[in-house]
Amino acid sequence: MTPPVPTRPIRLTVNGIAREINADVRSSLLDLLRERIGLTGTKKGCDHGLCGACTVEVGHRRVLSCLTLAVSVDGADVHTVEGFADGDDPDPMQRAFIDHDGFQCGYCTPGQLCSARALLREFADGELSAASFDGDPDDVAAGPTRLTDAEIRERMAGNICRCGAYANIVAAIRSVHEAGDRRS
Amino acid sequence: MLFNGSMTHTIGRPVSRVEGLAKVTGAARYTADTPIQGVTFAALVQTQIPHGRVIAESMAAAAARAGAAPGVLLVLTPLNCPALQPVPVDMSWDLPLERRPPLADLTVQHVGQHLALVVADSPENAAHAASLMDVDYETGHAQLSAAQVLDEPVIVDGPDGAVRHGTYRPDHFVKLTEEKLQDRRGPAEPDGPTGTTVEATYRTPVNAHYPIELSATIAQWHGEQLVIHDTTRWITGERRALAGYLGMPEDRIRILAPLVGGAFGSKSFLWMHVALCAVAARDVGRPVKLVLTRDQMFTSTGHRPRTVQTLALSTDDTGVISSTEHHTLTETSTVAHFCEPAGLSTRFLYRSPRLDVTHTVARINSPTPCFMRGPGEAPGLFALEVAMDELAAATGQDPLALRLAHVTDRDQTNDRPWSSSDLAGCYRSGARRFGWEHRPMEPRSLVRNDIRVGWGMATATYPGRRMPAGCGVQTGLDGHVRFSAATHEVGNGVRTVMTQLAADTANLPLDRVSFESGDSQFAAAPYSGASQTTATVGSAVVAAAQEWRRRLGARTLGDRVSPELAAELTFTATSDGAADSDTVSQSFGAHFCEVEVDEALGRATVTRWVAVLDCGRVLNPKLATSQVMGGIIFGVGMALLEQLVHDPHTAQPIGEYYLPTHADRPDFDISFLENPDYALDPIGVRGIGEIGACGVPAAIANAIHHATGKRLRELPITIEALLEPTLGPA
Amino acid sequence: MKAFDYHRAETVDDAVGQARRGARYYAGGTNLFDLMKRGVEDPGALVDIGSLPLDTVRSTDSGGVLIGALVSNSAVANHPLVRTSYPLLSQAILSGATAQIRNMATVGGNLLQRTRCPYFMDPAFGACNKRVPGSGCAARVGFNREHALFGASPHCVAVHPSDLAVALAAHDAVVHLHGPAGARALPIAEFFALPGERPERDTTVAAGELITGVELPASPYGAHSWYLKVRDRHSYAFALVSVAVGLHIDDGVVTSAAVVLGGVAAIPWRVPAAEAELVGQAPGPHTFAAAARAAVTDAQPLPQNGFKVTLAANSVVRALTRAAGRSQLRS
Repeated sequence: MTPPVPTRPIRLTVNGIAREINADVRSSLLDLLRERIGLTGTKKGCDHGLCGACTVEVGHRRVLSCLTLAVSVDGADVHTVEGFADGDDPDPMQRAFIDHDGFQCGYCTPGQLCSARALLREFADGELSAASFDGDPDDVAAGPTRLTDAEIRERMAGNICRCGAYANIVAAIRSVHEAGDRRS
Repeated sequence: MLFNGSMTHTIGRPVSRVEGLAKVTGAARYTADTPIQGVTFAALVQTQIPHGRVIAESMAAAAARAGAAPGVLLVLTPLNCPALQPVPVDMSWDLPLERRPPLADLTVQHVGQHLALVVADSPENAAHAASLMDVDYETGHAQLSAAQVLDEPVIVDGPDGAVRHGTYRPDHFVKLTEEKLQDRRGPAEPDGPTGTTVEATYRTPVNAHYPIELSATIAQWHGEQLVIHDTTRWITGERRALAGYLGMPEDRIRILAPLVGGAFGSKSFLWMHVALCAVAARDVGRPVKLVLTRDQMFTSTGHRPRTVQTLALSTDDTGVISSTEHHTLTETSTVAHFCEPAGLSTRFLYRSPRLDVTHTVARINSPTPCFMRGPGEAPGLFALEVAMDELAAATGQDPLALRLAHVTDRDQTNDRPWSSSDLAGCYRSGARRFGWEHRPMEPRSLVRNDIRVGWGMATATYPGRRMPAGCGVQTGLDGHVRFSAATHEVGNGVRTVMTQLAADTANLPLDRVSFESGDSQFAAAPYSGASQTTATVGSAVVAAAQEWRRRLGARTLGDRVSPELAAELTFTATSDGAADSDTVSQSFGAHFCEVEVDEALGRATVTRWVAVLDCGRVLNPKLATSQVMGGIIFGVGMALLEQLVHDPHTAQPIGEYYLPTHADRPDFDISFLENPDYALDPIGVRGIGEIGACGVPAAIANAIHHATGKRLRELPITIEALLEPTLGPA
Repeated sequence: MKAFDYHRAETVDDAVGQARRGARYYAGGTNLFDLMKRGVEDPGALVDIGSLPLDTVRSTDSGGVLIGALVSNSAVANHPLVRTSYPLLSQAILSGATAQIRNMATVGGNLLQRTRCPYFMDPAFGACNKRVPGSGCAARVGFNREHALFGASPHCVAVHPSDLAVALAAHDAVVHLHGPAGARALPIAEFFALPGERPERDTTVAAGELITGVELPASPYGAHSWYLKVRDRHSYAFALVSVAVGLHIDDGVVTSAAVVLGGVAAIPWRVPAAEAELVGQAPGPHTFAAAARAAVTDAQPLPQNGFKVTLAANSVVRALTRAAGRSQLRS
């Protein structure tokens, strides 16, 4: 057998915990999380950026971990589904998914949750989607004022669900958004 | 009769999924998540031609290249794999299990046939080594479609009977002798005064299940015991098949599948890669973990095969249907049997004195197909429900009125009445909720913002089935009662619904009861499919819970249970399959939808959907509604997006397989007519998993016809079919 | 995938130096890493440029905007300068891929992404001149529904998948490059290459050259722009046909126009003939129809993509209508 492939040490903060891993240079962040760190909450649905199941947060932006070369995010702050809850308390989005039945088989759910949480922050920051151009032209410069169903659907379109839990996922997101609006 | 006015505390309530917290926190474990000490990683290599033979020297050279790559522990090929046995004949005879074991020899029967399994110390090393295994082939003549098989001279089969060619007409669907694939009634030729005939050919393409969870297996040996973690929805069948492949007793095989990330008909029958993992694990002396790639899912886990269906409906001179003919041509592989039973619903759905239904299957050099959500119903109701729409148009009738006029109170194939059916109620309620009475009859009548709008409808139907099953009960010293069966939580909500049934029947609070699935050591259960799980496993759970309460008697269960009482309240119960009956259990429903068609861009948008279903008692309306919405979205994909395209020259799958995204689905109005059906089981349920998808493509096609005047008889309906030139002459 | 060398670059010169020694530039990885997994790309070394100071968006002295090559697609689309002055660019970017991919993908990487032709993307298909020069073009005789209407050669009928590039073409953008021979500025119309006799070349970028940024002049179009993308599903798919239009309307007359088609050629397909039909005319259905006809006059459809001719013409009309702000139509 030929000599083993050399590894590189990388450092990541994952869900607040500092980790140092000797990574295979070819490894995706997804495989690193699942096979090396043992955080299997993030799922592999296609490994080619076509389904969104592997969505995680890197540097507070949602990304596809299957298309992230692990060594290229050395030093990054990573958040996965395992870190969304506060200890034993699910966060509002997780709770809403349970209440609204925003999943069936549950396999795409970690990615849906990551995107759902990010979506609310992106909207609050005034970020646009393609759907924003169908609304009031002023929204383009200033940011959309209403989080319509069309906006939620377009912003979630990168997370495929074969079980078809889409309607309940949107209902869950809307409920968290409206509760947040009432609080602020 | 259970739960009939008596005190039930969870049945009929929208209880949240019991495994929900695990699923939303990432704690839920699927097969590929299972931590196994010392696990090694496998990668599959598959063939790239549809028919021929691998040249032995190139196979040996490829294996040597892969074997020399970093981290490789084993390369299994037909040259060195220990011979595996074929599965028992009663499994491959009428189920889509292949007659040839994997890696049997160097002959090639389809693209995507397993050619090698590479095992290495990391996923990256396994994938890299597998990528080195290009081989050379002697290509043979491939038959890639039913049309080609019918057109060419008959190929003589070899002596062993494993590889077969040509066409055949199977008698019935799987082991269900009453579900006749060749069926007639009434006069041999249509007779009597004739009115209108509509006759057309309908085509559906190859569809893929595409569960988001990739099929995965972990095989490990403990001495002579084999433990398999697998993404399976038929633990009992897989155990039997593996015992067959490996020539070992079943009781030395344990299969675990606590959660499955969607199946939709896949993740059963095609277990060849699982057997190879077991062989590899024995050879390397360590556990072997294989995760199929998404591309491999298209050729390794089954698919819905193509159909070409000719359907003819004739009326007498009063506009009543007198004759129905439905002839299906479909395809299977050369190494397994499967018939997509598209004509089965046509035998009984509408009153028709004369019937002629046939199914012809052509054996082609494709991977083996298998059941996919609504097998038969999904493509068959597309043809039938569009044909009914065509008949309505040809006879100047409202499509709803035509259907109402032909509702039956009995199964015409055996003259037994439906045990409980309110299809007419589904039609009326759905029409009212949708606003169907405002529908103008003429196509191209509705426009909104310069976009064409159409309203269409279709009937949904699916059999109520029930098989024998068992259920174990274990009462803990802490007063918690665990029910269990070797069934499968694939997203169908079985764990939740069974927990509800057990709690209510045993008169226990929900948090004192749990239901576990996914272990061959639990009481046996059939495959999770055919929408039969609630009736089947539910009956066993109810039997177990009733026995539990009988044994408890007048005592109460506290937080501390004596070992003696716990032992007394720990046992296994069984329940039978459906009893012989004077009635037939069948579920029905009605779909109504609106589709917008932007003809300038060829774009169809399904905007709103009303579905009313009669599926017997609804145990959990939250979960049942989710199943139906999921089924409708499944049907939207079938109608507008999904086809597995193959390169015409190499027969390889090509292009991206599109599923509906968040942006592709309608708004929903889902409701149920709750008429408990006690003929099938004591709970009053029939199944819910598949009926939501049945009839959906026809409702969409009919709405598109109403919007545009275009009659589309081939799926998927793509931009090309809808696009209209809008520029006039210069 | 075999193992490769991987180094981060600290400066542009460092990056160019490594590229001279054969390393491939690596930024977001959304295309290159995917192609490496598929066995289409096989670099022996990667130079990660993710830390280079090419990540700002700023106004230029001439009233335009300079966008660093490493700015993410999302950041460009949401930048105040872009949203207010170049809404076409924002809309085009946001119609591409998904939020997750837009967060990862960079401007430079977006321009350099390879075609999505399935024969190119899968080495199991032997005949692909773009991937293996001289091996043939399987798409010409096979599956070509999604392929080119314009600018194809006998050797290749692939299309470029970028939405960003189409909008940049409409804005007469300039690509800034830095290579072994120093810095240069390349108009976008000269950046992409038609297949011709060398389909393996997607762009005119020279060996070792690094894209450092993209510069757009001041835009005359303001709000009168629209990016229309038509694809098989409502989101998360590449364009069958896309159209970027910009109009400057003065006193009811079009004084300048840009009409660029995407998804129909190996390059963003700017159509001066369509623009000529618009300039000097009042916006309206008759004018738009003339422009649409001009846009597709030279189309050379393949056996399976003839529908794209009608689709492109209708899309031009629709995009112009939206840009002129005359219709309430959802598109």
